[in-house]
Order: sequence, then structure tokens, then C-alpha cells
Amino acid sequence: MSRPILQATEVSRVYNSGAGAVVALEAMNLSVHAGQVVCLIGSSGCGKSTFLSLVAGLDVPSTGSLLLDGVPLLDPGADRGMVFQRDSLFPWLSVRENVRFGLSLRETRRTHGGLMGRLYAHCDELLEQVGLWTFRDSYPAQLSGGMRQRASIVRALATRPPILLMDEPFGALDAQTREEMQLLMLKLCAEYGTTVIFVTHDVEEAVFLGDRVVVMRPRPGRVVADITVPVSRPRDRRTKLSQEFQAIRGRVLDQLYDSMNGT
Amino acid sequence: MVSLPESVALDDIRFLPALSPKLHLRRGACSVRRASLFALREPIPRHVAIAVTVGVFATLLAAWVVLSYGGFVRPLFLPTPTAVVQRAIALYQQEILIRDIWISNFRVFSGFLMAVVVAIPLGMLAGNLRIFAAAVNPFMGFIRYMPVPAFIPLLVLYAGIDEAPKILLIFIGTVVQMTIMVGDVTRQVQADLIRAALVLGANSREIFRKVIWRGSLPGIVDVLRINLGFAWTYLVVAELVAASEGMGFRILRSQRFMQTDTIFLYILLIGMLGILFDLAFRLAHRFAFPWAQEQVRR
Repeated sequence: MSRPILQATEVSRVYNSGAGAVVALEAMNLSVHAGQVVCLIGSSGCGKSTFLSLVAGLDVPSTGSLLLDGVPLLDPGADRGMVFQRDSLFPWLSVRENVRFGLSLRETRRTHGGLMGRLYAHCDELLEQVGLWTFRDSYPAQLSGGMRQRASIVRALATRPPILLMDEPFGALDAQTREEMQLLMLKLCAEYGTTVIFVTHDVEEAVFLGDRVVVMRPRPGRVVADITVPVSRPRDRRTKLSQEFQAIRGRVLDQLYDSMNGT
Repeated sequence: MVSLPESVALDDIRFLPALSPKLHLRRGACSVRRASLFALREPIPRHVAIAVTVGVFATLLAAWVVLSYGGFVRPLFLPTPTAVVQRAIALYQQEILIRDIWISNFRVFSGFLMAVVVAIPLGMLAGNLRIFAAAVNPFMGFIRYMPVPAFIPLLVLYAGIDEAPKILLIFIGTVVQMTIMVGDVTRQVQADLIRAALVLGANSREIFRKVIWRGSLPGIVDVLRINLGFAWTYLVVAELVAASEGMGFRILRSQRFMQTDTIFLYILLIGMLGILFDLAFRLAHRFAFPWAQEQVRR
């Protein structure tokens, strides 16, 4: 943990609606170190998804600076992978074509010969690793929700981004599938040393996945607490039962409820 | 009518037996259990669907047979099927029938294809780039309500009396609707998919080609299918312009000679051609876009 890979300084986002300015995010400071998993949690309207869009480059900060590896973030790019709340696989492409989409864009611009082949082979490996190899030629509509979200994660990782942005990716899944996906994500990100910013509204999920849990509060959206989770890795299902885990979960909950009561 | 006590509160539904939720539930459950042919949006057996379709055509044919052969309606108003078939054979032998069908198809498809070439790019741009929307949409709204036949004098003045004015009329008749519909269809590609492509590193051109175009292609094919129908409906109007052959022309001329059987023959032929083209579009849709078919979904 040396220099931060992502550095947000006084970042705010103000939307000008007909009824006046709405402050979606106010003066957010956050530095994320390489390899960390940082979970953003808070009730709706707290700016957690707004912040993620800013990091993704899908939106531009009204004020403040956002540096990725010391370089200001302006546009979306393949150096940040993103997994959305609703699965956003392209319905007209097979699972394998979906996963290769990001790479294929680069191939048309400049072919790197052997490198491309190796990257494609890596995609296939990832598919195998998440248990989707037998479904590689299926269309997204033929898969279950969990399988689709697994394919989305693989697609986001296929371009080997140093940082992965996840916007409530498991929110629509049933409890069991959700747990499986959390473990899978931890395993993959540990393996590739990927930095993760994970937005959720589920406290248990945040504490289970995160090295840090950043609690945010709405109107205006801002950070109220940054809680470190010293629970050792690798974590598994039993981790959630440990006292250490429960204690941190309690602290996060306290912060959440305090912030809801406006204190 | 159920008479209500004076003091009943508005939210006290115990006094409204017909609206009791329990009754509603029970009725709903019954219809589901019986797998009714009238269950909303539920599939029905394939043989039933085919039988109903065939039944409609058979009923119409039977009515025609009874009314015409039975002498209930004079032949001037309703020719017999025999008369229509004989007329078809006669026109075929005079080498008029095939010639009419060919020339009308040529006109319809020429105008239609011109409209496709203009409407697809224009619709895609208007549907996805605000600056094109500002340029195209109000203009299309302006033209949309103009009666197409009113353009005939101008078309004759500008384009003469050969094929050009007829093809242009069909072009004008379809291009506006088609552009608007293509715009709508391409706008329906989910914003999430565009965001996903952006994050994967796609630029605007790639998003147009690989996301918006690919994602709306099934919808565009449907738009073309519907608009080919519109193109055919303008045929008779187009062939008002100094035509000497064609299906629309033949219908108009038969009116002058009271040849009701010829009119019937050509109207039926246009209907049959319509069914054929529709079927072709549907089959193409099914084979080209397996991912967009209902059956694919779980």
C-alpha cells in the first residue's frame, strides 16, 4: 500500500434541475490504495452511485479533482471496469462474445498479434473459472440472473483493468447466489490484484467484502465515516459469524442510523 | 343495486359484495386452472391458432360463395369466384396479369427502398443525436400530416409522367413514417448498454455500430415490414399518374368498364402479396435474430 491509485479531492456534483440546484455529492475526499476493496454504503440519494459514475468517467465532477494513478479522469476508459446493478450484457451477443467485447474494440484499431490471442485465451480461462464455459455460446436471455452477473464480472475483468467499479451488482440476486458471487468476486480480485470500489446498501455485504467501509449520508451526499475492516483474508461464510465481524457490522450500522437521524 | 346503510364509511367495503376481493381471487384462479383459450396473454395450442386463422378465411370465402352463387347479390356488385378465376386466366393469357404484377412490384419496391436508404440513417441520427433531432423531427412533423396525393401535380411538373413520379410518390408516402419509427426504435436501446460499452472503451462511432445498430436491428426490420404495407397502400394513388399498366391502374380502369371481377381479382392479389412479404419478413426476423425471439427467454 504505497501511493493511492485513486485520489478524490473535494469532489462534488451538482445537478441543476428546474426546482434549483441539487447537491448529489458534496466535497468528497477519498483515497484508495492499489489492491484495496472499498465499499460505499448509504441510503439512496447519498451520492454513492454518483461517485461511481464520476470515477467511471460517465459523469463529470462539478468541482474538485479526481486522479487515477496521478492522471485526471476525463472520459470513460478500459482502465476501469464496471459492473452495473441491472445486468447490462449485450443481448445480441453470446456470453463469449460479450466477454470479448472490450478486447475486440482494441483489435479493430491495432492488432497486437500474439498478445490478442493470449488475452482471448485469458477470457476463456475466466469463463471456465466462473463455471460459464459450457454456456459460452448461449445468449444472455438463456441464462439465470446469477450467471448473467458472473458473465458481467468476467467481461469487466477481461481487459485487465487495475480498478473495478461495482454498482450494487448483486442487489437483484437471491441470498444464496449472492453469497456465491461475493466469494467469487473476492477470489478473482485477490488473484488479479484488482482494486475494487463496491457500492451497496447491504451492511453485511459491505463489511464482508471491504477492506474499508465508507458510510455516506444523503441531502447533500457526503461521507460520514470511513471504517477499516481488519478482518483477515481469505474470508469465507464463517467469517460472518465471528465476533470481530459482528462488532464492525454494528459500528457501520450505528453510523448509518446516526446519519439517518441527521446527527 | 345493493342498498347501503346511511352511515357506511367510504372505506367499508363489506357492504359491497360484488367488489369483495375474495370473489375476485376465486374467479381468477378458476380461469387459470382451466388453461382457458381466453386467458390474457397466455399461449394457446398451435393447432387452435391455425384453426382460428384458417376459419376466418374459410368463413369469408363461404360467405362469398353463398352470396354470389346463391344469387343473393347481383354480379355487378359481387362477382362469383368462378368469374374472378376466369378473369385471371384471361388476363394471364393476354400477358397482362404478370406484367401488371411485375410493374407494380417494381414501383412499390423502388420507392420503398429509396425510403429505406434515407430513413434508416436519418432515423438513427435523429433518434440518438439531439442536434439531428432538432433538425429532423419538427420537419417530419410538418410533412407528416400533408396529404400525399396532393403532391401529384407537383411531381408530374417536376418529374414528368414516366416511372419517376410514381416511385417518388411511394417514397414520399413512406419515408416520413419510416424515419420517425426508426428513430423511436433506436432510442429504445437501453442506456445501460450504451454506458457499458463506454466503460469498455467504445467511442461514439463504435457505439452507433456495435450497440445501437445491432440492438435495434430486429426493431428496424419490424419497422420495414410495417412500412412495406404502407407503400402498397399508396400504389393505387401512385398509378393515378398517367399509368398504362400496373395493378392499381387496372383497378381504376376496371371501374370505368364496370369489371367488378377484375377489381376483386387485383385487390385479392395485392392482399396475397402482402401476406407473402409479411411472412418473408417474419421468417427473416426469426432466423437473423435468434436472441430476440420469445422462445429464447426462459
